[in-house]
Amino acid sequence: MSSNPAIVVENVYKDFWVHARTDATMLSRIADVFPSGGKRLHSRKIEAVRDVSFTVDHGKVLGIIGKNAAGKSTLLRLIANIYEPDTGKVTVDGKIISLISLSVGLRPTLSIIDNIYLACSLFGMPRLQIKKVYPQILEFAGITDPYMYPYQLSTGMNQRLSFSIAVHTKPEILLLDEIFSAGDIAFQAKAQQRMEELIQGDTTVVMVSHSIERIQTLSDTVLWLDAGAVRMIGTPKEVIAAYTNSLQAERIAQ
Amino acid sequence: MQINADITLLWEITKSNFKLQNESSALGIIWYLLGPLLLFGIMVFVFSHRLGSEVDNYPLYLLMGIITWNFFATGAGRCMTTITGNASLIKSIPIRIEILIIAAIFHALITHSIEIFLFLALLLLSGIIPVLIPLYLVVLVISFIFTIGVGFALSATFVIFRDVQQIWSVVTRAWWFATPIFYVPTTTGLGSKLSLFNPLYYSIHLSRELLIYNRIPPLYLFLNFFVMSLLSLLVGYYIFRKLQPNFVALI
Repeated sequence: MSSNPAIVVENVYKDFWVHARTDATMLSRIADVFPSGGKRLHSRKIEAVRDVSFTVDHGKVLGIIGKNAAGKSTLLRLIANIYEPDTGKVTVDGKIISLISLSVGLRPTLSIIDNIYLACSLFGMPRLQIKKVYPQILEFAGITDPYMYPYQLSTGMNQRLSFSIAVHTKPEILLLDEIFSAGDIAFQAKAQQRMEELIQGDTTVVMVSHSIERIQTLSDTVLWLDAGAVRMIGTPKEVIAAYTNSLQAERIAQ
Repeated sequence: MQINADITLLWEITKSNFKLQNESSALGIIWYLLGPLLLFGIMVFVFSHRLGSEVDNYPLYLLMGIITWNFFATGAGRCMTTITGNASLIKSIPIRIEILIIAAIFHALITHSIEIFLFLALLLLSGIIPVLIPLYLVVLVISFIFTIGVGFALSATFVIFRDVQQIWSVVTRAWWFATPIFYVPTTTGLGSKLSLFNPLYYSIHLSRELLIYNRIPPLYLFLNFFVMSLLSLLVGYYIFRKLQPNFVALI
């Protein structure tokens, strides 16, 4: 393991041009590729992330909180290298597993065993390694018959399966977006225990959640994102206190 | 390690594409054969007496044309919708999109191989022993490269301009008629010159010469085809890379 931080984000900006028309045709798109007088006629700019900087050390947990549309998921995607920053730099040291959407990779009409192979390969695992971990994945998810199909399982069971796949792919850095709603209370406890094991085993975690409690118990540092910018970064206690105060103040103001 | 993981991914995606295509279909993979065979039956019926009268083994000549064309058209067509079709995946996992595109063509290659096996069986039944199969495999590889290039360009441009789908369907229709699939190309005049710029002419002509007529075509035909395919790959991949930064925001 190196002494570098696991994640370094330096002055990152990310804008999106959202096409204002749903019928994105060739003509309207060409019009926007060549803006007239510097203006794009059919698109609107959204500043999703503005001048965000922070570092996360190996084995630490960063919780990200903020209101809807604060840029939390965009920030996760920037770390995962799904988006490239417009300016600034994201440096990552280690293998990233991103669990941004729980249903991803699961095809309802492929058998569970096929799904596990597919999802693990999407997370960058070679075949032999998948063979080794797949009994553990089934066991952790609590699935007994690998020849069933996801559409025969409940939503909760599907989420358990996805979570189970992600935590068994030996991530060095785990990115989680609102996934703790998966499964029943027993599974949530199991998931939390597994997370704690991973963290003790030096996995770095960045998690986005609206569940303040969970963020408070698991995080070492909390980042409060507001309209794409860092409003506050610090210990869970102080940041969460400031965040809830501000939410209350807003509620009263309304 | 990385290459192992990439090969696993390519294999798993191809496999799941193949399985998903056959789901909830009563005849399953038989459709792979039935589709081209039905078209073939109709065309033999319509054309045999006129266009095909001066061709040896016209039904085989025709079938080879259809299946070779189909490999290209299905492969490139599948690539076109690959990026948009995997939108949620691409948005949540850092994945090499190239692998998805190549898997789409491998999927078409599986179908194509089944058709080729059927074709070889028909050849044997007609008393033709295809001894030049190794050379045919070379043609197949070059076709594969050509299709990947077109696939890259189509998949990327389709993300930006959805109209590409309509344009492509008109282009392939015209291209189909411009390619000697059911007719015999003229040896003089404009048509014969145009054929020299048509990569599909090469793949079909070379395949027929090698498998049906057991003749080794002149080397320059292979070279022309190879150069065109390489060009297709380079240009296609260049377009793909140029447009790639826009993908996530547009799907």
